[in-house]
Amino acid sequence: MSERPGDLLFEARHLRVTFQTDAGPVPAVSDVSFRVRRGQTLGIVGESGSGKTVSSLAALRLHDPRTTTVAATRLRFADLDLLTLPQRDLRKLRGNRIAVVFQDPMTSLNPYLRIGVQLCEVLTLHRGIARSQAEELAVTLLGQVGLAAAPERMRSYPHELSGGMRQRVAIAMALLCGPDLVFADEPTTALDVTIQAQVLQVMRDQQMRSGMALVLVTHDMGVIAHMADHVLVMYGGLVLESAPVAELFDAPRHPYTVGLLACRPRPHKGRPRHLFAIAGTPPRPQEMLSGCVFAPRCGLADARCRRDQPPETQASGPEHLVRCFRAEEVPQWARSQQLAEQEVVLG
Amino acid sequence: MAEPIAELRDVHVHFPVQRGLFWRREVGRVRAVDGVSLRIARGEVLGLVGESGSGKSTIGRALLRLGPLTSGQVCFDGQDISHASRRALMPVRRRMQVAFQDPDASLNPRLRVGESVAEPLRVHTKLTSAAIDVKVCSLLEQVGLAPELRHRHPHEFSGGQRQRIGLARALATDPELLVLDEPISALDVSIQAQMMNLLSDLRRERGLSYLFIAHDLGAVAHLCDTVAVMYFGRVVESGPASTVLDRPRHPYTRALLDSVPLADPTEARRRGLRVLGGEVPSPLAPPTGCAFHPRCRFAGPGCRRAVPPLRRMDNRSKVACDLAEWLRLET
Repeated sequence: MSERPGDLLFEARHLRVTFQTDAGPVPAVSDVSFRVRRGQTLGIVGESGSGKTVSSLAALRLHDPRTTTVAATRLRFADLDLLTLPQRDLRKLRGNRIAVVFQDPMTSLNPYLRIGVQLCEVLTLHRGIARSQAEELAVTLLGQVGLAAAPERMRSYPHELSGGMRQRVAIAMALLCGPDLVFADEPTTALDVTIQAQVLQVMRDQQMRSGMALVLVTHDMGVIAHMADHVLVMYGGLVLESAPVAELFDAPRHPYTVGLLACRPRPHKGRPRHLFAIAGTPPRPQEMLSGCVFAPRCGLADARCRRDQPPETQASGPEHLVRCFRAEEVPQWARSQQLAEQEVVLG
Repeated sequence: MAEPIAELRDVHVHFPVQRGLFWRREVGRVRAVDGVSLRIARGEVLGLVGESGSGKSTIGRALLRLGPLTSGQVCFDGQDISHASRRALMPVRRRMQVAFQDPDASLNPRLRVGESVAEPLRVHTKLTSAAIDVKVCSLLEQVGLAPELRHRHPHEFSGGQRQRIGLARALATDPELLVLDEPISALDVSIQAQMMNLLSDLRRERGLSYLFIAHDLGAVAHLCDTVAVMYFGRVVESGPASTVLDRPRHPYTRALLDSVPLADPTEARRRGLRVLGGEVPSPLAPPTGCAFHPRCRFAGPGCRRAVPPLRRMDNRSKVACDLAEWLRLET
């Protein structure tokens, strides 16, 4: 098996996730495909309810099989088929070669156990390393994620640490076994901007050091710009646009992406009186209608958009996919929107 | 200068730290707010920024007289309300309202939202039920919600809609000043822009003044006229938003601005992440001298000795850094 940076490491094709509820099946993710390459970062952006967390958890088969059905035509990690792999083997994989970091670090930390005990457990469990050696490795990694006084911190309980410190511990825990792939679900959303920059830097450094791949779920386009190589824009359980990061920012082809990029106020920009806002609210999974999921909020939508679901088509390059009937017109539409915004400033 | 709508003069809010289960004794004090003076001019938006634990929410609560006040003066429209009784505060509270980050903090889940919006009107005015109902409809319309929705319960709304309802409730008594404590940070990105636009429209239509507490510097730059940057219970820099955010004089303000990720991949890659090391110090073990010195790359021996005073730099800006004149803080 080759292991060069850029090689395909993880692939999900036509992933579907359905929740079984008392009111019947609710589609949470209708069609999501993505690939992660060694050493690279896949960014997934979307608002709450877009299915970004659900699809990444389902891809690791971390869902509850009693309430959730997951289907896919392909789900592979390295040379393993995750669709047929027994749960026992999956458990060996997770925490070892694939690690997960959640928004709330307390999801992965036990409040009753000292940090050191929890970190060493990962190594003794997955790698069969002796306790004393595990401790040494854990201290080294805590140092690498920028936690001051690491040897003393090993004896701390989670509640004795600040939010930023806890998230570093959770990241250290994820990195302990030197995973090939890390799924990070909004790892910095609950943190101050200064601590966010620190935590992102830690993940960057680790990627440089070990060549791990990262799937970063976030709602912040700034975080995407700094971290991602390739980006998925999710909405209503679908990938609306998928593109290399520079292409997505320079030439977005979906009206939703245009809106997401434009609606963010920037500290260094002038002050238009009105921000570009996407009208309406994101759909709830129960109320998925026919037609394009974004049509009710889209400035470009016509009768066809409300009737038929647009297929995924290639935009400019081979890696740039978009799900919009009117993708061709989007660049010009985006420019006219910006002009309207400038007029407001002048007026 | 015009009479400000609200003013804080040398406000201190200290919380005692107690130990012991039966014989509780004070073992220390947390100086959550340590000598802050601010003024909000009529029709103006003052932005209060800083990391969590900097004391910005405590200031909002002190201004509303919802929290304790250790010393200093709080004035509303020229009237000193620092020691006013609950009864004396009633007419002031009508003119000064608050919207919190979590809209559920101001909505009773068991009341229909119309009743929640009507509540301040029942308390503060003598309007008839019919008149109140008319007013509630118009308030909901002003925040962009259909009046028919007043018969529903909070759980039937999305987070953004609940935030609007919280705002309608705050506006019910026709206040002159609104304290907005992180009003957008819990909302989805596309909804944040809607909320920001609503806040600027309401301000223009009603001539409102805001104290806008936020950690999102983009939102602050967009909405605020003046900005005060807080660190560890003190204001370290204040002035017109354009000056403070475009040409910061305090190393902390610069670091805060640099930490915001740029939504531009080419520029982001060129510049890389600018990381400010360390964390806000523990309030139980405050550093000597300037509270920012352990994280400041310019700090010299003088910074460790004395707390730098907030000095006037020019007509409208102030900076609490002894080295402000000597630093070159370009991006």
